[in-house]
Amino acid sequence: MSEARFWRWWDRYGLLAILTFSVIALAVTQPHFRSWYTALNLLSTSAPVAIAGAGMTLAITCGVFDLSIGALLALVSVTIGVTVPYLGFAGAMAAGLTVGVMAGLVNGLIVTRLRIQAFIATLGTMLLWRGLALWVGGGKDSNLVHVPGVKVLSEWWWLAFLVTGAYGVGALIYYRLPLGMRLRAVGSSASSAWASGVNVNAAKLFVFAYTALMAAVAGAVTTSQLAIGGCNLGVAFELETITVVLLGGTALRGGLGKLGGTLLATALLGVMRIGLDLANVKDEYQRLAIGLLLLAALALDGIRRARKEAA
Amino acid sequence: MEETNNQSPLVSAHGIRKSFPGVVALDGVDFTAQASRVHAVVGENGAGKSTLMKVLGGVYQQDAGTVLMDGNPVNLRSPHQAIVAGISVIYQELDLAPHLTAAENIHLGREPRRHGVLTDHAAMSRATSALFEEMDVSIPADVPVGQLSLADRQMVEIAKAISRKSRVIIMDEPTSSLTEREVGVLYKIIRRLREQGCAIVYISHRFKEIFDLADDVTVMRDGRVVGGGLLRDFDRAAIVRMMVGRDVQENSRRTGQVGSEAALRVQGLSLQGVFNDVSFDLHAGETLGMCGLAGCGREEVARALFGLCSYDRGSIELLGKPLPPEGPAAAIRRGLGFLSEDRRSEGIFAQMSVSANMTLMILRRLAWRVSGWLSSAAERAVVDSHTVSMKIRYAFPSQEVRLLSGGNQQKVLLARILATGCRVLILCEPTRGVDIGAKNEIYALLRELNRQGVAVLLISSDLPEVLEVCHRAVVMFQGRLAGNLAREAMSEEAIMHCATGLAGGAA
Repeated sequence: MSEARFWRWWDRYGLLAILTFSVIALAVTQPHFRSWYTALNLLSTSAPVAIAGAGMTLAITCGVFDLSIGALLALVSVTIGVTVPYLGFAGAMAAGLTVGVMAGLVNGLIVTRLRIQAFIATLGTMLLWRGLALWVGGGKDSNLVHVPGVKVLSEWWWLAFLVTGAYGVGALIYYRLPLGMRLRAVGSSASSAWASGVNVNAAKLFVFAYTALMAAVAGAVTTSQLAIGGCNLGVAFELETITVVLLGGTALRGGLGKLGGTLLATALLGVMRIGLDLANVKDEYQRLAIGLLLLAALALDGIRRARKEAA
Repeated sequence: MEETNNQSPLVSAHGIRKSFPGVVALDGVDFTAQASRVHAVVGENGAGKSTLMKVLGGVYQQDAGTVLMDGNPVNLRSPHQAIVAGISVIYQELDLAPHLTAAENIHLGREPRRHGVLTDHAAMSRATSALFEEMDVSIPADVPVGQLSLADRQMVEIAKAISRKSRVIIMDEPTSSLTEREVGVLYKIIRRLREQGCAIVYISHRFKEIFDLADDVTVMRDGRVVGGGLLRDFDRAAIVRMMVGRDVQENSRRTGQVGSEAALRVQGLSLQGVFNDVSFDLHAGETLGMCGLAGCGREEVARALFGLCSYDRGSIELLGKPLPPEGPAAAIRRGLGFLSEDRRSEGIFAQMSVSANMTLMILRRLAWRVSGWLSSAAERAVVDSHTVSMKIRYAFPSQEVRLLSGGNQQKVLLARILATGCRVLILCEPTRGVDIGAKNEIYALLRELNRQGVAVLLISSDLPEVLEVCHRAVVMFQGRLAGNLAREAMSEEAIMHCATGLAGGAA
């Protein structure tokens, strides 16, 4: 196989190959890994990042970032916790998602109207949402264990449905809707998109709202799983999400998104965590391993680009 | 064809005024373009042509004045509104989304849909392939345009404007990166659009194209319209006189003494599949033209010489010493200068100042010996001396370079390279998108450099330019040297003969 062909293969199936290899290796070496419990565990630990990653992939494709989604996850959770006595579980969920979309619109308006870079704008709103979450929640988590039906979103079929839905809708937008093409165009060259008559601000506004909506869904899932309305949830959640998006092959500078890559990368990180847990590897070493994995993946890309340019 | 001027105009602009901080770009400009006619707009650097077109294209909003379509005022507050009004602009700076395919770029903003919602990718590809076929170009519709050549990207840009079925199509230097064949294709396209009733506004610095194509002409200078009318009423000299506001002597063909020692000796340079066994000598005080059609490998050879890309075999000798392939920094240290054809991505730092752009490569020399801090006096001296000697026009040295016209940006780049005191210069398309005034100034500069013993390798698609400034020319065809023409043997025909592979090398 020639070098160029190998890289083409690697682009398509590299992550899948590593994931398959990891699963087989763990299944062979760790007897406990071979159980349905592992699959359920993987689904429930990875679902929030997977769902938020589906949104973040579109954001980065469009050339913007959202650092505020971790804090937003907490704000959504607190909103659900606070409103559940009045609205019931379903109503509180709706309220949480509404807060999420509004927060995304605020991010989008700051970026498009005030012309502040996404990185800085969402760094600011990250503090804002976290502050709001702490303020509304009174600084402590509200216990939701006694709320009827609170655990429903932690059931595997709901999680499977939500993850499938997030990626199904994401793929529909990215591949099949004109909107997806415009998001890519804006991320690829905003000036060119604008000169072609694309409403760049509308595209950005949408992508912020959508990313926030996905983060809010992740927040609802986490709230249900833990049965708390937690103002301290989601710390570093945005970084974990961006990690899987980049590991999945989405271009950091925009223009090219890999939704499937994000999903596979999330699964890979989940499998690694489970495997390392089963092997009794301590948390600090786990973080080390994941950090190295990310660096290795990005280094591979860098080396390859350097070789391509040299050729 | 009707050649009267009393038709009602398709698009017209009245009293357009537009100023930027420190500059009045347009000062009460009136302009009209009629259906079924090609209207050439000419003028020097910074005369306001591009600004006027950007007003018509909705990129800039005029401070005063009105734009009318079919006699009705239109409000063009964004490119989108201009497109809806029926005005398409092909901008001088190529403006395509590199990650999107040709088909996607062409249909961006008005994607064909299935069931009213889904993007119809198949229809998009089909329409694009059909369009390319009609245009008589072979460009893949489904490859990201970032992977296409500059010339192909330019054709995609043109296709984009055509496919919108706009009634007014403005072309700002559309041929700047095209080869002869593609220019011919463009001629055909323009003539067909004219038959179909479009108004075509054609901006170019190439008089040959203007006289080949245009029906009407408008001449601009310093933000005003200084003349115009039916093109057949003017000759080239009259237009040039209006452009510069005085008589200019066209440059005479050059002669002159050339040193005998080779400043740059290239032997057997090869890169598999790109260029093969390229050997030539460049003498001190000489300008050597390097010609060839797009894809012949000349840019790649130039990049390999400067260390921007690798080569498999061969040797390069610079000023009598071997030049190892250690990258641009090493090449610069040894006295080689390089000007890329892609001014925007490999030349200027658009957001940095004129003075920073000029002194970037010699910062060490401008620093105080002990502290290492930059001496602003030394910096100023370098900037001032080059500004004067090269007649660079800008408002103040800390002005951002992106606010300068193309010709002045190019001069800033040349100043940056010359400040290093290099003895051998490789220039790729140094006058692309540069008006005739600045062009002549650059030619004069090349002559002066030759007189000082600097050797210049000039890669250019502009054959009259090669004939005017070069002592000799080498011609490439399919990665090989297909001709080495001495001064007396140089003619457009001889060069094209070699460039199309018809000659076996008349060395």
